[in-house]
Amino acid sequence: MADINDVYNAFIASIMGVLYPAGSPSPGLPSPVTGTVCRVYAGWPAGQGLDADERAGIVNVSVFSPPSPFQNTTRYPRQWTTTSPPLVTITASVSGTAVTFLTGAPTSVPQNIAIVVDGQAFVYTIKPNQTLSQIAQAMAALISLSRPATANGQSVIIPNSHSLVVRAGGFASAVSELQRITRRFDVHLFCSTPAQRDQISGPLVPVLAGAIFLPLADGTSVRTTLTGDSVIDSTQKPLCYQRVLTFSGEYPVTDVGTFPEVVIASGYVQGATAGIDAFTPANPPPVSIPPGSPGSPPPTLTDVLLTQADQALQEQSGPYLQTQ
Amino acid sequence: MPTPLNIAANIWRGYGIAAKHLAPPAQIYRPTDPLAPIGSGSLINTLPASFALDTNYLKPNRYGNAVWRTLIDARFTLVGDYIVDYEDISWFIIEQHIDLPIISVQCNCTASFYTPQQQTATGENPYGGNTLATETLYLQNWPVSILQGLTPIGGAPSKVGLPGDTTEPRWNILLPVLPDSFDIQVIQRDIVIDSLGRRFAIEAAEISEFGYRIKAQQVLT
Repeated sequence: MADINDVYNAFIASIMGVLYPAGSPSPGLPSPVTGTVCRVYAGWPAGQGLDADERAGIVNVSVFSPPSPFQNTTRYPRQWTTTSPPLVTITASVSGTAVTFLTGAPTSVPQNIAIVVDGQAFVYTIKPNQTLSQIAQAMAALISLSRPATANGQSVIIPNSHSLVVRAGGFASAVSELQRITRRFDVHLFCSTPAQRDQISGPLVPVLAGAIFLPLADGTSVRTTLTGDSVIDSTQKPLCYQRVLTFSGEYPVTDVGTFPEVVIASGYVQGATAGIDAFTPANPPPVSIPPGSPGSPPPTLTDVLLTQADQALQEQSGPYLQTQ
Repeated sequence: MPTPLNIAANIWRGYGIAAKHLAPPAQIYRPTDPLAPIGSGSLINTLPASFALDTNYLKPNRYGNAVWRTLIDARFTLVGDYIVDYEDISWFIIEQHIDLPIISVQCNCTASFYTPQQQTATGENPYGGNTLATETLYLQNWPVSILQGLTPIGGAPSKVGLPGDTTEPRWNILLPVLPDSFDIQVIQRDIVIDSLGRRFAIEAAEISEFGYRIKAQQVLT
């Protein structure tokens, strides 16, 4: 969920990328830019610490949004957009009346496993760090509530089944923009000397001023525009040389959600429930003969809906199908 | 017929005898190096010294006071000498008039004095502005008295403008008379950094027979 704090973090990440390009520094590690320790944070420094840092040659970079005109620039309709596609690690195979889980567990990646037995779907959400055998046992227990099923190692045996399909689906992350805000953000450089300020400004200002978008944690971005740049020497008595970069930041306030990938779909068409059967070579999906092809009957509404649902199921890496 | 100096000498000798009964010996230093006022090179004597607010030894000290009457054999001391007593407290003599009591200032810290960077070259100069590295040290580790002065009511906080800012407090700094041989003058805008790490900008430096009475602003970010 993006908010002003995420914008702070975006600025901080960008600044840290300049001052400590090798990544998170160990305590006391000087920045290769200044040769001294640099501190980067959101909010204002505390005076006592800043006094001590200025005398020790330590740079403080503070990111803050001062009281300033606030503009609500909301202009996009609310809709969910995938930021992270579903990830599937579980693999399985079908042989005769057995479904065997092959690889992909134990894992902490949340996934749903579906086994469709003679047109009846059984869906199970795996638990973190379950083994393949444990998943097979859980599936067998679930199926056995409706019909005989047993687990044998990593396999689930469903006697007398004629059609078996196994599917695994992951969970996608999506974001929806609720509002769009434009407000001012200041990046304060508190340096001990003018030379130190120049050392930092040289590489930092082009990066910040040149970045049109800074990424936010939820996959959205803040659009930044440099609108002011002040060099302040009037605070040199306490050995504080400042530079204040002022940005206009436009960012979305968002909601984020996690949505399961569709492994089983059903439609309700003209009073009848149409299930998606196992699409096996012996049971081809209705889309195997595209409507309108020579020799095919005219497509019905059911055909169209099933075709759309099947396409969504087949495109594992494509846009997920929202089930809401 | 005793001369005034003879009389003073006798009185001072008497002070010394009294101090001998009241306090252990103290070290007497006469600074010869502006960068090392207290050291083996400036140790000139060891004398008993006793300090009080009155001759009856009945008055305790009070907040804001650094000036004490002093019993010491002043035949061997001068104004500006430091006395480091048995408790390792430093004092400096600010007056030993021949017919008046001897008075000293009790020090509560040490301080170093700096001249801010000056643009002195003819023609092009480096970037203007004072930094720690470009300040010129001219007095180092001098025991001084730094006590609260009168901070202007409603005075402006520091120019940095941090949320936690307070008014920059004013302090009174007392420094002994400096030997003429140093050819040093403490002036306004000079910087003082004390042993507590505080940093001051001198607003006014009064020089009198006692030494320097300095009004200083503590500078804060």
